[in-house]
Amino acid sequence: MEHPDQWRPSRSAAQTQRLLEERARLLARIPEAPRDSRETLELVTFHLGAEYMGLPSALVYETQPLRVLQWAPVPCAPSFIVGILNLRGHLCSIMDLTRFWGLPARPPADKAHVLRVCGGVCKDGKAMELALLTDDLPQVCEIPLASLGSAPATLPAQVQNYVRGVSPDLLIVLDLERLLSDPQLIVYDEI
Amino acid sequence: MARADDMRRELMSIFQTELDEHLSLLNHGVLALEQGVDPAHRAEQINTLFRAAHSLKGAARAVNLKDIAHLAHRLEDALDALRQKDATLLPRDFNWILAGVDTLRVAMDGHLQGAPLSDEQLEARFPLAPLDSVISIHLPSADQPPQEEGKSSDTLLEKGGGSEGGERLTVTEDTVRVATAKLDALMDAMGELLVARMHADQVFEQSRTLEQRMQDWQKKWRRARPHHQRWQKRGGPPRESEWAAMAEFLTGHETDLNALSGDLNALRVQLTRDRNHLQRVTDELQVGIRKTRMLPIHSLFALFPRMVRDLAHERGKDILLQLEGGDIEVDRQILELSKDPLIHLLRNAVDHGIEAPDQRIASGKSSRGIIRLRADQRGNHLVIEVADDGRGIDPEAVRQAALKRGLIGAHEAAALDEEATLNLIFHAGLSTARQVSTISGRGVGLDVARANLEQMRGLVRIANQPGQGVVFSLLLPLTLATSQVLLVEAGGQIVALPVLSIERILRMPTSRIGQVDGQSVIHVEGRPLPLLSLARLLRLSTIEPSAAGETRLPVVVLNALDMRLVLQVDDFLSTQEVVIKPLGRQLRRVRNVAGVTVLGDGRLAPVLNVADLVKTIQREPTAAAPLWIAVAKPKRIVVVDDSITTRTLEKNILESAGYEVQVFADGQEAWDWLRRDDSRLPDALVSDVNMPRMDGFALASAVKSDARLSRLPIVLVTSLDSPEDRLQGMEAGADAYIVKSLFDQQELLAVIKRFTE
Repeated sequence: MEHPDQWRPSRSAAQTQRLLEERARLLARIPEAPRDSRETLELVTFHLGAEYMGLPSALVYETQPLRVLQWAPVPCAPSFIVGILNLRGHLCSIMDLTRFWGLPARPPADKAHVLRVCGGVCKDGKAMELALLTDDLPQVCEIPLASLGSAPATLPAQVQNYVRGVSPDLLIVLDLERLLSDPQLIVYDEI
Repeated sequence: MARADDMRRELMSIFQTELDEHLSLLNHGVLALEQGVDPAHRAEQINTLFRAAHSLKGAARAVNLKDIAHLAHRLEDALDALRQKDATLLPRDFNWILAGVDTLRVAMDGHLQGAPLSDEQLEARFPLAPLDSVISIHLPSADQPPQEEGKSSDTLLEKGGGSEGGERLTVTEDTVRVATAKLDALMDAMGELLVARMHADQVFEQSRTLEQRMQDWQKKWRRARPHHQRWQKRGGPPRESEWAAMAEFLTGHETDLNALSGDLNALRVQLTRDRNHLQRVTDELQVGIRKTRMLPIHSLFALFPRMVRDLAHERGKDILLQLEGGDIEVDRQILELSKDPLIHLLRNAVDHGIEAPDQRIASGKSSRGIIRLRADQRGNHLVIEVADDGRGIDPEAVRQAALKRGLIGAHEAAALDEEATLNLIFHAGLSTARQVSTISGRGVGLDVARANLEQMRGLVRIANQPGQGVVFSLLLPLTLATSQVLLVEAGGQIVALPVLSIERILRMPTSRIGQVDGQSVIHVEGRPLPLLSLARLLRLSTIEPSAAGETRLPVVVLNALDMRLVLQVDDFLSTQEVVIKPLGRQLRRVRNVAGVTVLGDGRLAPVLNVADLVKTIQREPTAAAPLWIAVAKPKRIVVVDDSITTRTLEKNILESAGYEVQVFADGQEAWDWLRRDDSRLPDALVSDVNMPRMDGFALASAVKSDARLSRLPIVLVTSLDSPEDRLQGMEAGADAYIVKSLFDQQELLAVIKRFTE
């Protein structure tokens, strides 16, 4: 298994520049509020059906457009398994969260990407690794932790379980550790 | 401190290997003595055993395992006495020595698991008997406790079941001992690889030279180009200066071209050589590395003589186990996995196959039964046979037992042939009356053996001769590292089938597909087998497999342990040697899928689990909905022509391509039939133009203006070939136009195919 830090989604030069400037500005400022309230969370965000979602970037190792990847459907796998993916000889399953949650199915988007995530703890004590399907090119953003509110009641119950919080602009931040530790993710179909 | 621990661990590991060797030697030596050796070699044999016990004692003291040293000492003393007195050994003496060997193993396992056995426990397993009563030149004392003989057998039986502490292969879990010769071969191949790398450097230099030459050439051209461009722009004859520049470029041209071509040629030669070289070296490396995982099969077979001997003693039978083909090298994983199946087969042979001595004599056999365990390599496969010359299996008894257990119904029982009946013995929970014994009654049966076989993607076959014996043949791959697979296309996806499970592949003429109870069947070796669609079984596509137009269906006959499976696929692609990989962290086990393989071009192909496919069909017959539902409804074509010759010709062509054909002699007749509401809508209409009563044009317009029929594709076939006719035909609504003078079978079929798919 690759080292976790090896495959961060890369930022563009401009993004990096912005980030550095922002950091410089923050450093130059004299702290006026307690540090906690400015603690931020770096997220990888993407669209999924009607929803706008974010994952903590610490658990995201790489992202690639689905159409350039070598992958194949797995016969007889549950419907939330899109297929199996060959990432430079390393195999990992692709999962569609909307199907996992039983939300309305939709045809795979042209701009669909996969996010390879690794984390959580399975029964055997090891981390789960899989690729999540997104509808578009994932972005990186940072939000203040304090801005996260509780999930609106309109969110389906099965999704609520995995939500860490919702930002004011309705970005649903998922609790990825919890999702990846969920035994329901694991396919073990013995006949 | 840590260093001392490391040293201790290393020392223990060395001791473990030594202990394995001594115990193995003791085991076999005692068995050989028991079977009776040539008196000349007897003393030597006993001496060897004595030395093994003696060395073991010394080694155990060195690693400070006092209990093992103590046990070994006890054995050593006994063997020494035997050596001195040249005494005759009695059956229970053999048992006593073997119990000692077993106890040494158990004691070692205790240490390895960090739970050493207490002295009392060891004492109970291997009691210190007064020397004379054990190694005796006298008759055994009458008050000998009778159960003692059974004791060693009991311990062994627990082990034989594959439980913890069973007699293991001499390989430990994560290490393997590799012969130096094998490593040397790998080292040689490695050296060759270094040569290949140096060649790559050379080729790299050559390509740089080539690039340099190209650049020089381009530089020359860049000098001449402005002159050339000026001249071209202006037209007319070139000026002196322009001509001179171009001539200079052209003069050097030939030399440059030659040099380039020479360089390219040299590069190609070098690359060809390197490619061949690399191919050879990588092949050697692949084989070499595989070989390091291989062990001779006698490392497995060595476990069995002792087991068979103890079991036979317990059952009061006289059995000789013959071993053959122990030199064949097999992947150690295969060895591990075949252990349980072989234990069960051998145990079965001792328990149920070989008769008691008196019975054997009564049926005219020698009192000593023979079990032959034989390994043989056939191509990429390993065949292990367990043959006994016992009473064989009575199919009727198996049938009755299966009936009694409710595994099959009375109706089924009557329909089962002998082969199918015999296969029932692999069914979990089946026990014939004869099979109920203290051993097999423990719930370990052939179904356990079968599970291991599935894991290896192996097969078992039974050859039964009632009264004469049974031969069980295990067909196994030589390695699990790579597997031979057949790549097929099913439902538009590439899937791989393990070659080991494939009995045959064939292109089955559709005419040979029959129907039994609404199920399509084909006959393989005279036996009707249901024909199923692989795509449908895997729920790969919702598109009905289209058999129309195909005169021969690609069909794979699979054999999974006890059932034949006939699957229709879209197409055969190729057979390949592949590495089967697991499906990642999330997909621990997917029904019908054993893993996935990465093809040469990086594409992925799921590898199917044939045993699962069989179970899928058995559990949910609906999953196996016959593919012939689609195939049985071939596309229907209506052919209209007033010439009986043309009509018949077209009918034959279309029917041989799998279409269903309805013929009519003229447009009117066809029209009358077509507009009947209850007639099934055809998929295409092929019509002549010139016909009595109603011609092709009229028929076409009638069809196209009818709401129900308007989408029916119309192909006009005519001898007329003028633009006007074509126009008229198209206006009337024809979708295609075939000219009779150009008429050929392929064209008609191509056109029909285009419109019906």
